[in-house]
Amino acid sequence: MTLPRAYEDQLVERAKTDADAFGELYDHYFGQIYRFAYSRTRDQDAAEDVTQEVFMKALRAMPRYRPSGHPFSSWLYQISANAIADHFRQRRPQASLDAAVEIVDPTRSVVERVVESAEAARVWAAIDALPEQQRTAMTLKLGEDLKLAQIGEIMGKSEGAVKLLVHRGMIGVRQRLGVAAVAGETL
Amino acid sequence: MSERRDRFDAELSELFGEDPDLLQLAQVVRESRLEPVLDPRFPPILRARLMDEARTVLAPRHTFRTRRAPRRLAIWGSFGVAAALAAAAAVVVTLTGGTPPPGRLAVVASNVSHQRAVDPHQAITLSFNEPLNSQSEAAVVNALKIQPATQVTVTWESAETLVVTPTHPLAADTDYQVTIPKAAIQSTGGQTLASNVTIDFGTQPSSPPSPSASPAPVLEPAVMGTAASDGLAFWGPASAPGVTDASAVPATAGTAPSATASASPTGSPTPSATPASSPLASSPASSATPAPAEGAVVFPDDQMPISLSATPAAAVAVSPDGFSVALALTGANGSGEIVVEQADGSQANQVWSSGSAPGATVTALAWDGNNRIVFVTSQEIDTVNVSDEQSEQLYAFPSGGTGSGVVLAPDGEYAFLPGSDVAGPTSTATPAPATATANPTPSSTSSAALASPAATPSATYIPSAADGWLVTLATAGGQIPSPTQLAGSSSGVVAFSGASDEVAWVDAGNEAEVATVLEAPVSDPTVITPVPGAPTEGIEQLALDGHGMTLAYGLDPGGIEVETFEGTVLGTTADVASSLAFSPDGTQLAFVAAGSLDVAEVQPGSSTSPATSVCQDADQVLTQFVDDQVSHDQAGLTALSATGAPSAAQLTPAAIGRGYVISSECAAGSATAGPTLTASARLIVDPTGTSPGQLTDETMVLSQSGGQWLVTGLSVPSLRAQGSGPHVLSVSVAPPAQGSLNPESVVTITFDADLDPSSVTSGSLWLETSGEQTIPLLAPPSYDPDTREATLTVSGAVPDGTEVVVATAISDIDGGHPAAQALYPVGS
Repeated sequence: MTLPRAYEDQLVERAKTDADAFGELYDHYFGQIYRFAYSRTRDQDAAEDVTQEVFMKALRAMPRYRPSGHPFSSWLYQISANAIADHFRQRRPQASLDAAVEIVDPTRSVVERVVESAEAARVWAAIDALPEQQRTAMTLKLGEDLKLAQIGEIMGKSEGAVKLLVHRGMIGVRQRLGVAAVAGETL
Repeated sequence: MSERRDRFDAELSELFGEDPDLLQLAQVVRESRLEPVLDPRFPPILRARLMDEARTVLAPRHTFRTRRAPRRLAIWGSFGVAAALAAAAAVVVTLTGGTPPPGRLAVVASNVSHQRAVDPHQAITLSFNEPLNSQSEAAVVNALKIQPATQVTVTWESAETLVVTPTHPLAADTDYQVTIPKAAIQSTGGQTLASNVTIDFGTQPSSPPSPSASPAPVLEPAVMGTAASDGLAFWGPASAPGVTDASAVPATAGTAPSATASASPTGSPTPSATPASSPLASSPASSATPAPAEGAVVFPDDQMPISLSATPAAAVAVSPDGFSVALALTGANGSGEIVVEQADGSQANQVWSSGSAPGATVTALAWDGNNRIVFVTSQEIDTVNVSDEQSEQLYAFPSGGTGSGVVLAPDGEYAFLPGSDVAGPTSTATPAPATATANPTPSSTSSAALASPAATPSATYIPSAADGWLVTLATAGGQIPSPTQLAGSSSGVVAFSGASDEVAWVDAGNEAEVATVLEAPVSDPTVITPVPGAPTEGIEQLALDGHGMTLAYGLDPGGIEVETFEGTVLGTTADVASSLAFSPDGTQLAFVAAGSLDVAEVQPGSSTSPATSVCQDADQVLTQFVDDQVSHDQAGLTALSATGAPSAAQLTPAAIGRGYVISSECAAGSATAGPTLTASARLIVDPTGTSPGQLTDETMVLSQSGGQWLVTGLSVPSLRAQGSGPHVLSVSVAPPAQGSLNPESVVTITFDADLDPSSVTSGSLWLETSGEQTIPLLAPPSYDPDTREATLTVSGAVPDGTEVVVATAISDIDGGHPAAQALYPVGS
C-alpha cells in the first residue's frame, strides 16, 4: 500500500518539524522496512536492531531530507541497505549458507523441486549466498516488489544495472540450487 | 504486515521473458517470500522511542548557517530579554511620546516596540487606549503591514488588544517595522488616530553552528566478498572498476565458471607465499585478519567474484588498459613466478620465473606504459617485457638488502627504497643525497630538525641515514638517475599517487614528536609539503588517489580516515584495515577489514576547493573585525588590519549600530601563495523615529601575515536606504554528501522577507562563476517558506569564486522587489 504521492510529500515536509507527522510516516513504513530487514538478516533481533537504526537515522536526518523525486520509501530503503551491510560487517565472519543449499537430483527442474517441496527457505538461502549487491537487488525486487527504477534509486545505480544484478542473481540462484545453466546462459 | 502478493509483476516478464525457466523460478521466489517473525510489542515500543527523540530532533529550525552576530548583539540579547520582561509586566507603555491627547485613539503598549532582541517566535501585541469598533477590527487585519514583508495572522485578543502572529518565525537579527494607517481604525467612541501607527523592533541574533560540531562523515562501505590483506588493485574501466585482491577466498569458490588453476600450474601455498612486500603488508593490522585461504580474486563491479589463481599472489598489477592483470605467484619449488592473465582468469601465461634460484620470490609489481612489468625480488629490481618475455635487471640490492620494503609507483617509473636496500655512499650505484637543506650533514635525529607543518616547506627537511630513497627506474638496466633521499621516511610508510606524480610518506618523528605526513612531487621530491590535518600518530598505512589530492590513512589501533590534501575529512570508519587502495578516479576506496573486501564511496575533495580548517582562525578574526567596526574600536581595527590596507576606521560609517557576516569563502593556498578568506558583511544603521534605516554590504579580504590573519583588503560602499523588498541575510553552501553516488552541492540563500514563491525562479536567482558564466542547476530553484530559504542545487562541488545573483525579479509577498540586482559570494 502506498501513500498518495501528494499527501506523502506534504507529510514528509511536515515531518521535518512535526513529531506526529514523523510518527505517521513510521506507522506507514514500519512494516516494509522491518520485512526488508528480516528478509536480509533472517533474525528477529537483528531485524529489530536494523529497523530501529533505520528510523532513528531517518529521524535525525529528517530536517535535511530533500525530496529526490522518488518515493520517501526509497530513502528509507537506502538507509536500510546500509544498515544491513553494517550489520553483516559487524558480525563477520558470516556463516556460510551454502550448506543449506545441498545439491539434489539435478535431473529434475528447479521449479518442480521448489514448488513440490517447502524449498522456499532454501531458495532464499541461495539468494543470501549471492554477492551483496545482487542480494540487495533480488530482495528488493522479489521480496519487496519494488520497481526497478526505485531499486536503482535506492542502490544508486541505473535501471539497467539493476536489471543486470537481478538477472545475474537469478542465474546465481539457479546455479546454487544445483541446476546446470540452460543453453545460452553464462555468467 | 502480510500483504497479498499475487499481483503480476510485469517487470519480471520483461527481465526473464527469454528464459521461461528463469521467469518461473523468479515467480516462485517471489511468491515464496518469507513472512517475518515480529514481536507485536516491538512496533509500539520503537514508536515511543522515536517520538521521544523526535521532540528534540524536530524542533523548529533556525538555519542561519554563516551568520555570526557581533558580541554587542549578545549584550543586546540579555538586555532585550530583561526589557521584554519589563514591557510585559508594564501596565502601559506609551508609544506616542506620552499620554495620548484627549479624544484621540492611540496605541499605548506593545511587547516589542523599540526592542532589539525580540524572540523570532514571539507574537506581537498592540494595545489601544480605547476599544475599536467592529469595522475597524476587520479593517486592521487588512491594513496592517510588516516590513520586511512577512506573512502574519492578525487577531483581536480583546476590543483593545491586537495580536500579530507571524506564520513562520521571524528572521533572526533583523529590523522590522509594523505599520497601521491612521485611516484604518476608529474606536467605538468615534476616536481616530492622530498619525499612522509605526512600531519598530529588531529580532535577536541566531546562534551560529560551531564548525567543530559537525562530525566527520562516516564511510559506508559495501562488502564485496571475502578477502585477505594484500595487494589490492583496482581493475577495469574507471566508471565501474572492480577490485583485485592478491590473496583471497573467493566467495563462490568452486562455482565461478572462470575459476582456474591454470594460472598457477604448480601451486601449493607455502608460508612464504605471502611475503611482506611493503610496509603496508607488514603492518600489525594484517596479522589480525583471519588466515587467508588460497587464490587471487577479482571482484568486478556488480558481478560475482572471479578466481584468478589457485594460490595466493604476493602482489598484483593491473595493465594500463585495465584488461590484464599480472600476479606474483610462488611455484611449488619456492621459485618466483609472474603470470599474466585476462580479467576473467583466462589466457594465463607465465612471463617470468626465477627458475631454481632460491629466494627470488616477487614481492612487488608494477605495469609500465610500454607493456613491461617492473618487479621486485629479494635481490633486485627487474623488468620483464610481456610480449617477448625478455627481462633485465634495473637495480641490485647491496649485501644485506632484502627488497621487502620497496614500494613501486603504479607505472613502475619510480620506486621507494628503504635505506637498507641502497648501496653505500662510495658505490657507483649509490644514489646521492638530494635535499634542499642548507645543512648537508645527515642527522640521526632528522625529525627534530623538521619544521612544523605551518612552516615553509622543504628547506629545513634533513634526511637521516635511516631514511629511504626515491629512485627513478628508467629504462637503462642498473642505471638509476637522480635518486633523492626522502627526509623522515624511515617509517617505510610510503605511497605513490595513482598517476605516479606524487609521493607521500609518514615521518614518524622521534619519541618526543608526533608524526607528520609529507608529500612531494616525484619530479622534484625536494619540494616537500606537510599535509595539514593528517593524523599525528599510529599511521600504519597510506594511500593516495590519482594525483595525491586525497589521502587515506590506516591507523593503529584501528580506523581509517580519508582526507583531502588540505585537511578536510571526507570520511572515517572504525574498521581495522590491512590494505588500502583508491580507484583511479579517487571516488572509491577499497580496503580489507576482518577478512572482507570492502569498497566505500568517497567524494573526492576538489583540488581547488578550500579547506575549511585552513581558514578557521580567519573566521574568528573576521568576526572580531566586524565587532570592532560596530563598536567603532579604532585600535582594534588597526590591530586587525595589515600594513597598507585601507583604513577601516575611516571607511566604517559612523552611524552603524549593527553588523554581521553574510558569507565567507576560503581559498586554500598554493606553493607560492598562502590561503585567503574573502568575505562580505552587512553594516546596518537602524532606523529611528526621524530617519530611515540604512545599510551597506562591505567586502573584505583576509590573508596571513607573519602567521596571523589580517584584513588586507576592504571595500565599503556608501550607505543606502534599506528600502522595501527582500534582502539576503546569508548565503551558505552544503558540499556534496559523503558517499553520494550523485554528488551535488546545495547553495542556500536566506532572505529576511517572506518571498512570493512564484518569483523564485532561475531568472531571479542563479549562480555565476567568477567568469560570469551561469552554472547550470540540477533543478529549478526551490523555496522553503518556513525558513525563508531558497536553495540552488548544482552537480558536484561549487567552483571557487562562485556568486549568487539575486535579480530584481524576485519579490516578497507584498510585491516588493530589491532595489538592484546584487551578487553574494558563495561561502565555504
